[in-house]
Amino acid sequence: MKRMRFLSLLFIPLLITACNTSEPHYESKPINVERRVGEIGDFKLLSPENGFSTDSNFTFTWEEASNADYYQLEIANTETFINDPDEVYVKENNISATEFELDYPLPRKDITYFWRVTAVNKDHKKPCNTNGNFTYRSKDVDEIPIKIEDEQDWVLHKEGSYADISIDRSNFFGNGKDSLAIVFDKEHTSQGIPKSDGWIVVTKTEDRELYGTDAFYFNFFYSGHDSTILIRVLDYDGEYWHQQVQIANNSKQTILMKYEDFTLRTSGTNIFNREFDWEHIRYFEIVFERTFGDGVCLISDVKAVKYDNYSNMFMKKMDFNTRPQSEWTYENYDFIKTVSEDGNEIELHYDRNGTPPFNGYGFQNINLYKFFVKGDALRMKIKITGSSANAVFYFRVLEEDMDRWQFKTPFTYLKTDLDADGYKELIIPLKAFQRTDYMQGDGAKQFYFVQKFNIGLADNYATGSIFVKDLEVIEYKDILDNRTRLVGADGRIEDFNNYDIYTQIYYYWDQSVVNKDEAMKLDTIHKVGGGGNKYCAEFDYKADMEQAVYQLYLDTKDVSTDMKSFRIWLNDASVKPNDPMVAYIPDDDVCAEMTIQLTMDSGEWYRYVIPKVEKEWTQYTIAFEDFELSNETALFDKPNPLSVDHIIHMAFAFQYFYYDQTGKSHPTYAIANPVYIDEIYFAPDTESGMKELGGTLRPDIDDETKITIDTFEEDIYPTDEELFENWSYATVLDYNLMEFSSDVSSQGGSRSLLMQYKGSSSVSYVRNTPFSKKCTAKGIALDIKGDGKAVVYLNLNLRSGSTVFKMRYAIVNIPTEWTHYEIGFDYFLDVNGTFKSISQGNMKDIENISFGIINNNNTQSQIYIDNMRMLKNCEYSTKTVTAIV
Amino acid sequence: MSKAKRLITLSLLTACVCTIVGCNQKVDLDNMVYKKKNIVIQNFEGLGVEWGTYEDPDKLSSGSWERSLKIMNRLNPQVTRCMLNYDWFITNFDDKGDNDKTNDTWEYNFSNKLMNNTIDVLRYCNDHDIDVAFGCWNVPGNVRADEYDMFEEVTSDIRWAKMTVDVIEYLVKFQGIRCIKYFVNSNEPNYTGQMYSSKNYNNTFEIWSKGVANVRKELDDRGFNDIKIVGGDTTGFEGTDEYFTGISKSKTLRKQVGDYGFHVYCPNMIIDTGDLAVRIKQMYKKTKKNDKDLGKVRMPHVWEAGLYDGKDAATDSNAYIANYSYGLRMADYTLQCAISGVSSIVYWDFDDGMHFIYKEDGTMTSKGWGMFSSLGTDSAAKQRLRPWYHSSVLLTNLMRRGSQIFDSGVNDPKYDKNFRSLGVIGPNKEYAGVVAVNRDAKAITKTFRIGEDFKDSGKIYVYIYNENELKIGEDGFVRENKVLEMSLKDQIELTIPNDTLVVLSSKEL
Repeated sequence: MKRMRFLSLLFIPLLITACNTSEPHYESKPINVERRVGEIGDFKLLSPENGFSTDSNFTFTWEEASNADYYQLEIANTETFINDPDEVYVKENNISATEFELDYPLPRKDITYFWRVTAVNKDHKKPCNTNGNFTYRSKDVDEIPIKIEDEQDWVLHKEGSYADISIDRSNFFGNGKDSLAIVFDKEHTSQGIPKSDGWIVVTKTEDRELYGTDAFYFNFFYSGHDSTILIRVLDYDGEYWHQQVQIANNSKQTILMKYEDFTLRTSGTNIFNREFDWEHIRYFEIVFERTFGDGVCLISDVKAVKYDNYSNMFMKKMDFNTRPQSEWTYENYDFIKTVSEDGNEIELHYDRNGTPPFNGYGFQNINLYKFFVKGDALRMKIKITGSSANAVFYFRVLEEDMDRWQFKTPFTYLKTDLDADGYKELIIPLKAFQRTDYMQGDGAKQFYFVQKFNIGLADNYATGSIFVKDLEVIEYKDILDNRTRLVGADGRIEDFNNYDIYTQIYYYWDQSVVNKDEAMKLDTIHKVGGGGNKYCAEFDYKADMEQAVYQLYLDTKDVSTDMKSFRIWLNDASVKPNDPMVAYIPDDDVCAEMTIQLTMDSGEWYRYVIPKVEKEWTQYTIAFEDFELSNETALFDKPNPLSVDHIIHMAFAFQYFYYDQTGKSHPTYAIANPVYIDEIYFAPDTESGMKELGGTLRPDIDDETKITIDTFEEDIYPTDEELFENWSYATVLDYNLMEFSSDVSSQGGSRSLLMQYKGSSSVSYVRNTPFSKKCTAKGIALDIKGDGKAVVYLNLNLRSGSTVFKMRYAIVNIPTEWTHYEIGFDYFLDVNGTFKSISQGNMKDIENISFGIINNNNTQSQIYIDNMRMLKNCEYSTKTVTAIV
Repeated sequence: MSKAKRLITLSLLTACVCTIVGCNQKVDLDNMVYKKKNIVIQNFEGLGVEWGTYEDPDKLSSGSWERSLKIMNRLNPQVTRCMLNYDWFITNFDDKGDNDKTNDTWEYNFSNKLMNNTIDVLRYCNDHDIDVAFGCWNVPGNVRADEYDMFEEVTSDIRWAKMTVDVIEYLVKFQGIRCIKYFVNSNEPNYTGQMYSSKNYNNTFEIWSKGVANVRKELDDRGFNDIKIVGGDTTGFEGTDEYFTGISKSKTLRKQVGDYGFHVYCPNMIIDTGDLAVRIKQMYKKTKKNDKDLGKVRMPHVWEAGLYDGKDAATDSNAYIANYSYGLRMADYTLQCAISGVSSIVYWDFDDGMHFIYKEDGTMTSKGWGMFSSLGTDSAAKQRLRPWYHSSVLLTNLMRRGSQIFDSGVNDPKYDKNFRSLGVIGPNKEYAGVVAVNRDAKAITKTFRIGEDFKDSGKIYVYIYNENELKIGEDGFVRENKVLEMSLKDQIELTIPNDTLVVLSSKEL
């Protein structure tokens, strides 16, 4: 029991303890952190002073405002401090001091910012008395790298074709830097998936400011099938801007792209301010389009730069002293070179009697190794001395990828419209340069990085000089007010007769580059339509490629609204290649598909497609109502009908695709397929139709073994002028003369053709020969009356693909009486020494027949020709000379 | 019942009744006193922030790295989490053309910007005495290609352990990095996802456990016994419960992991009602039943702390990240974790410039969960320090490693779901402080007193965090609202405005 009592006593302290939990008393000590109340005193901003300019961190200061708890500092690019995502606005709140350091960069540079401070207490806000401003500059940087370090940085767009992306660390470009390598193959780029095939996008999220720069610089290499490669960036406000890389296939290139040359991508992307906000880019991309084969692309040392820092890499105006003459090379003749002290002019002297003698042709290769500045044409002044009759001037450009392009013109052209010093101003649009046989690159005109100029001449057997000065790259705007064609009241759009030289077509017409064979030429040989028709035009295209597009802007204000149709003369001369896989296709079936597009000022695109352009000159009349609207889904408003007074643009597109006998695509890439064009009009016809135009040569109706080319009789040429519907002077000589003559043989009807010539500088009289595709022959016959001294070069100019072979037979010892010649094609040999021959099968490809005539005693004289015919029944080896009694 | 027994029984009953009555009378919701009896963490491990590899350091503009370090200096964390991907430097992988993974070979290219940048981060931590949980997000391989054939076995793949310790060995032995205290055996292993969109689709607790065992052995074999493995790094309460239960019940696994680590992206409602603390305590209690060393040897850590509301999955950003309320809630989150026994909390995350979301079209945009953005190309509003940086600075500088954390005793939401507080006595009793949040829509008046001894400075620095009363100095960093010549040993009475965090400290934070 005692023990129990004791135990119960133990709980008494517990009870006491349990109940005794109160703390000692602590007096509460209130602390006051109440905010200030009442009016806030005036205060003003102290620094920076208005107009302050900086590119780095700095401190704002202001006066203390009495009774203020804290301050709000606002910075904006708008005077009204607009707090909007499109503007710069930031508010630093709760600042207890009267100063604040801005320690982060403002996102837009080189603009004026405004700042203000507001003092705050519990119940009042008081703004500073006046707002301040300052300029936040971009840092003066020369170059900003877009680094290529890790392949993970570069991401392939999943919706496009597959490509392998890696970092090449082999110092491929020799610049000491790694390269981004993009490799793809046909297996992935041509899977038959329209959405993705041939489209590869490699993106680096860059989010980088490019202030202080104005161009991208990079090393670039591409080897592979045809491809369009773009550099694309996403700008600050989310617009995609791109610029095409001028690819020089298999070449290690250096590329400079000015921001100002980027264009806005509008298809399927967001459009905001339509301005390239390059100051801050978000993505840097390499985009491949229309890339349906294999390819390897490397890009390295990408950086944003100041263009001017690289200006020595560019040529605006040629300085012939840029590269030492000791490094120059030549072809066939080493000209005596004299360069003016200022480098502005070069004289290339050639000496017929020198050692070694100048023997007719030669080229001086002048090193450049520079980029062309942005431009459309080369302008230069040329002076020629010492030319012979047929001399031709050449100006060639050798591109980075070893494609060589040329311009050529007879010396005679360079001797007209001279300035007081005897110089001819020559303007060569870059797109007017034409292919040469030396095309070792991708066959596309880049005119970007140029290795050499080749200046030279051919067919000139004289002593003289070529002077070239003021050679420069220009833009069309330097020489033209505008490029729009004013359509005549009669509806005439173009007849190609107002040009002096083919290059002038390019002043107004534009052409695409994606087909790679776009070229526009003036042509006197294939034209029809009488002597008043000076030229037709040849527009070329390459098979199995994208359309070759030619376009012209139009002003139709003078055209009668009665015009209800579009009219054009066309003649297809596409050439089937010698490829056994396409041999099954009849020659006549190889014709360009032509799309004609007329664009309205309200945005409608009206198109008409000619599936196969006729092989013989044909007038196409296409009623407006037969054009089809092709962009209806892109129009916001109800489409307007095609109306001549609202047409602002015209475009032609040509293409042809080869297929094997199974119907599978079989690309041949046949080059330089011509389509001849003439007499483009708006017309009053209200119905579409086709009309064959005269001039086609066919087997004679009364004797199909012969194809009469010319008899010069009045039923063919009712007037004298009409002779030149078919005949033309190919050289400009003061003794050129062709005219009808009554001097005829017993078989000659009432007229023959007189041909005048003089000495050893040959005339060149050309007869256009548009043979029907049904024509076959083994030889040619003609009647000639000579003068006892003439040598007549009878040239059958045979087209084969893009090459015209001058197949020649020299007729010598021509009697002074009318004589009938029959000459089998075996006797016609290529003047350039190839083994090309004329046969029954290809004789229809003889484009024209030209006569060169010379004698050895330098006298002016005449010969006569008549009754020119192709013969089907003779032999290739036939050669008969028969006096006509 | 004998008389004696009746007496004892009566006495006990009386004592209990008295105690209950007496205690009920003493629940004081107005006067906060932080005393020994309410210590919840004896040796707090500090607060910190996720600060990992900058996935594209090229994007850092001139001066932005220096600014980031300045901001980090002021945050002054004591723990960080640093994650990377092995894909960034594994090269020349050769599987020998067979299915035998033990003979596979590969090399490492550590000389790249990502590793360089990782080392910069780790070296800072090294130099600033910051404990780092270092890890790898996932096993290597393209999510659609699995070129290393690791997605089936995930971290249990024998090569994972080798890669892990190879990397750690490089960092420790060749780069002199000594701050790595934990290894994260893949991020959020319970978040499995779908094949072709997640490398983790095949993972299970068992696979992960096997991976932990492999890594532990490899670490030990190569002399890295002091580097612990995070026990879980899971996300969400449900998944975390699975892993914590699994770990706590396995004697082997308990020895192989170093903590109980988890992530919580908390809905506002759970924070606002004080329910976060309730849930963590429940989880703690459940785990403790299996593992008596929880809270002693193995501490609970939150390795990713953030708010769920406002999350935009498309951009992996939080729309509210720049609001003052985000800072208030993250402080409340921290407080609730600490009073529930969580020994360190790592905020997600430091800088928008670190992590990116990679879109289908190959582009990437920065994730917006940071305290600021170091991307100089971001808008000025994104670059400025966000309010939650300032609230975090107050907490990281007060709740230091080695601190004692005191519950107020009245934080249970059954008393007041709108008010919570804790007391802190710093390491070596160098200072003391109080953290309190008023989540109510009206001001409240409370008193605060530190009821245990500490080296008193005789001053109280008062910091008030709300939209109207936060104070920022000329350098852009938080400043005290007031300095009082008083002591936290006194009963300090303070009226706390609505929706406000208050931090009282005997030292300047």
